[in-house]
Amino acid sequence: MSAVVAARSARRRLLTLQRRRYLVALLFVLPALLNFLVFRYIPMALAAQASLYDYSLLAGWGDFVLWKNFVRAFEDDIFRTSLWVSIKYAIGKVPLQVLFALLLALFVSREVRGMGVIRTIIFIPVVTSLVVAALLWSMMYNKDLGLLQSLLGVFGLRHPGLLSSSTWALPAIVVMMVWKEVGFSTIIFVAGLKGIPTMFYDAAAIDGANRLQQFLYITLPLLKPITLFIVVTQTISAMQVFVPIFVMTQGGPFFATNAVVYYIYQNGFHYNDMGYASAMSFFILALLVTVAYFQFKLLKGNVEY
Amino acid sequence: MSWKLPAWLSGVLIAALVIAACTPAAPPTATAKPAEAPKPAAAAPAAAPTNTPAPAPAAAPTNTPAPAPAAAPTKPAEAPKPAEPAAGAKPAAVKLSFIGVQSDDQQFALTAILREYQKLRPEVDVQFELLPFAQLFPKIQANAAAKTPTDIILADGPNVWSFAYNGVIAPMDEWFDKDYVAKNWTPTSLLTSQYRGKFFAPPQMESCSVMWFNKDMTDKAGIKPPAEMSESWTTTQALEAWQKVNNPPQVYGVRWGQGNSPGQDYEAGLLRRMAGAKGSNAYKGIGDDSLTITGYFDHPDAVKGHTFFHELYQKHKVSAVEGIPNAWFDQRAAFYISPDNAMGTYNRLGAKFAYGNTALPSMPGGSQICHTDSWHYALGANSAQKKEAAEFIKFLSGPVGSKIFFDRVGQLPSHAELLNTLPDYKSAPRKTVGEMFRMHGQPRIVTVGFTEYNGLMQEFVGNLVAGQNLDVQQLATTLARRSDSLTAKYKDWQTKP
Amino acid sequence: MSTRSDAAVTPTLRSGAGAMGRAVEVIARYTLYVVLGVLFLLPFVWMFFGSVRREIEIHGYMFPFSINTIVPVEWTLQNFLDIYGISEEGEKGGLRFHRGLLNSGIIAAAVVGLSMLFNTMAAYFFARLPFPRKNLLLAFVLATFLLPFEVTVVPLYLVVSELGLRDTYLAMIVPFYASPFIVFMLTQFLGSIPKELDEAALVDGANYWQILWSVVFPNALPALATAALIEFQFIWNLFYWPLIATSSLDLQVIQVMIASQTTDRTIYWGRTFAGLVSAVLPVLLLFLGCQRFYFRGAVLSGMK
Repeated sequence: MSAVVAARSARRRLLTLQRRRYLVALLFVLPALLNFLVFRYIPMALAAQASLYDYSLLAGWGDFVLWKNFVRAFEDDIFRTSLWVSIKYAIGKVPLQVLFALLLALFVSREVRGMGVIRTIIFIPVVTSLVVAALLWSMMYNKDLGLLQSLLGVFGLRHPGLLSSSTWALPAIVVMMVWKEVGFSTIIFVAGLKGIPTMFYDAAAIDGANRLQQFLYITLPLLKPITLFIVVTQTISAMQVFVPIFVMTQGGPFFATNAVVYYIYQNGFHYNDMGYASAMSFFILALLVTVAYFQFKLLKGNVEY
Repeated sequence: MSWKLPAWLSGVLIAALVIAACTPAAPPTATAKPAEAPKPAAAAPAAAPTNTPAPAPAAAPTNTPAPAPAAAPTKPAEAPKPAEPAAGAKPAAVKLSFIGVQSDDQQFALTAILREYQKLRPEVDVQFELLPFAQLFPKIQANAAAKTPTDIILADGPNVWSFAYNGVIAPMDEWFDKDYVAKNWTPTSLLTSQYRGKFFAPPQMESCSVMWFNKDMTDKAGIKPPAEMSESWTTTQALEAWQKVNNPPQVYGVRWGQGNSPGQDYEAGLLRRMAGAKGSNAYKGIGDDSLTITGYFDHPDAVKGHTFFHELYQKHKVSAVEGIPNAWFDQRAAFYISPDNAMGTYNRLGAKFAYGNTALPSMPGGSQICHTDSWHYALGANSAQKKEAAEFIKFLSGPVGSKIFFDRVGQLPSHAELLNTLPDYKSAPRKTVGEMFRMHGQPRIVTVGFTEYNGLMQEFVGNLVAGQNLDVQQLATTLARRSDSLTAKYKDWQTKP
Repeated sequence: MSTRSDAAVTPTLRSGAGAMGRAVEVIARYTLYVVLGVLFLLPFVWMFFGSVRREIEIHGYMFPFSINTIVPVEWTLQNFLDIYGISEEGEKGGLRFHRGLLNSGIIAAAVVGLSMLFNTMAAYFFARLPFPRKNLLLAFVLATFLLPFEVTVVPLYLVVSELGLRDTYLAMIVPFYASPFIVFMLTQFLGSIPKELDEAALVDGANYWQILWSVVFPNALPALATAALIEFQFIWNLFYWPLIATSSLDLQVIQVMIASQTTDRTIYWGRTFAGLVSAVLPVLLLFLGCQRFYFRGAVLSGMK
């Protein structure tokens, strides 16, 4: 009898110990969670509420319209086009950036002379403000007065105007954003590369693996969590591109650069329809969740926590 | 096992926590007052504004005011009367908040006017928050949504109705009675200041675009733009002139509008109204319900105007598709459509060429028009100090304030007496501006749904500038329909409580 | 135990090819340096020189391309004098970029300090600590940056207003004392540190806090330094939020001051460039200082 009692009380003690562990663990994440709750979740909830109403910033809360805003988004041609523009942008930018970042990281992670300077150089675009970078580039792309046109002129070439062309405006923005952000991804890759113990390479070299094989079978797999991280976050951020469009093209010409967040901004701030703008954002959120989920599945492999 | 934080981390954390804990609340000083701001003694209640405004300590543009009596209504009753009790009691400090658009002009002018006001009301201080144009409206909207108690809002003319409709600004009939209003401003100016019979926001200044030209270039090309209004060009004649001086990419014939973006309704929307005879649908631009633009914006006449604008860029190529910064001032455009702030910018940039101006051209079969209206001082609906704010607004927009403002900004004043008496507008180059304003000035279409319309207009103008093989009529009709559907929600504007 | 030479961290060309191979490699390397330098720096070189030119000159020598496209004809410090309020123009216009730099510095330091602490703790939780359904919690964290900022900025402003933080330094610091992006990133990095280290310490009787600081922290330095840098430059470059959340001139951050040089009529390029040069320098110096620290840094010494 006492054995059962002893066992039961032991289990109870074990449970309490377990629960206490959980509580202590929770304390670590609580400050951050509190921040996210107050400064991110509550605004998100407010935005969600706004999407159910006829809400405008100036006029305040109008009628409760439930699904009307969502239905409207579903039927809105321009919303669909803008979604497609954002997707095109992400498809162009993310692989380009990840590829360049990886190549650059392989180059700059070496400890040789001059590398420190190069690392700084590729990081400079990252640390400058996006607004001003966009301004700088819009002047560089200028058809008549731009630095690019000037440089091309040295070779006798001339571009037909990039930001005013519905074919070239979006690629031009992609190039600028890759230039701006590749340094960021590079240093993350470098931190990841530095985290791979050299003994792996030494062992492989002893086994007769060449450079390429070392790269494919050691570096790449061990970089998987980092690559996953970069791809997921860059995709999310690419789908949310806004500032370069706002500064350089204002969605034009002919909606070629009217990315979805810009359209959302227009509706919220120009067309006095924040409710509709919020509804569209939640559409995007659902889309991003799906995309992120699939990217995780695809690239995750055996990354565990 | 002990754990130690690296020293630098401890330092950073401590510093961060200390800083975060010790942050001050909203700081006291606001206006960037130049060091020589006068410190007046307590103003006597009877002090009336002197007829000549106090000369600014800094070097202002040298327009000396007209002979004193005509410059300002001299009745002391007009002056903002300090409300303080008789000698002895010190009035409580008043702090007003003011949100407006950023530009050197506004900064100088508003600060100078405040200093003048503080001679009469030393206990009043104003915190000026001046934002870049593109961020001003979103911030006003954010403040409206959060019911932030801003006292004075510098509202763009066409937005006044929208703000009034949405209850973002408060009517000021209590402090601006009908006689005062009629005496100080022209009916054109009042079109946007008044909404549904109530007075909301007096104008800060007016505006009217004319066509400036680089005289060195026109002389060389043998062009002589007309100096008299009666001889003003048609668009056909103007186009000829533009083509004569056009030499891309070094020099373009004309830059239509300020800044270097394609444009919006203020300047790019002129041609569609010019294309219609006075009073026609194209000229009116909007229906009598002040909401519908189908049939007006996309009227065949209006489309002629849109097409002309489009052809400047794509057919005749007399304008740069991708805007050149400071084009006219850098001598990269021979002609320039802009209000008379061009003169101030010219001086500030240190440009060095001879220039002149002429009236805006008219379209054959159409009319002449310049878009008027500029910024207005509005009273925030959530303000907790309406009376004080209104008093300051009265001073800002009154004769003294308007004069100080003109001295610094050099743009068409809205104050009727000032406009009629300033010698600047009696002689070139400002004469053209004054005449154009009086004879042909019209505000942009006055509607509650202006922001929606203007947002669409920006897209439209961008497409007109960059697009090739356009069906302009179809584009215009699409815009008109979209605008009407976006403004449909305002159908009740005339009856809403 | 092999010595860790950093040059061998990534697969490199083994020196079997001899001196000739080495020379080719060096030439190739320096060529790449130049190419990268030009690609990444050209806009900034133009901007840097632009900051010491007269306003009217900046766009004046674009075409045809010549040395003066970049190098000024007339060198002047006017732009810098203007933005620091030293010149008369600048003083009258109320320009004081030094104040903007100070404000940006204050909030950046505060945010980095606080967030390094709280983000690390949170990442440690997600990567190492036991807790039921942690992954769900992580998903919640990630979901927060799926809504574009432009949509949540006004609701956030409402929240901050309600908390009475509007128009204070705290308004720019408190919403950012933890960051989902950094938490996610650090979770990835901390997850790759071998768990055996933790277990060894647990056996020794250490609690979670001690493990974090004595075991995990030293091994995560490159990641943490990266995170600090990212956080710093994020706050330093933040523009829209400080604009909305504060009104007082005394609280203006450098980015807002730079943006104020763009009026509806004209852009003061010279001053914008000068402001940008001023704004970029502190971040660059920080990066230069830090990168020696973490690029050469500790890596999984526990494995040896």
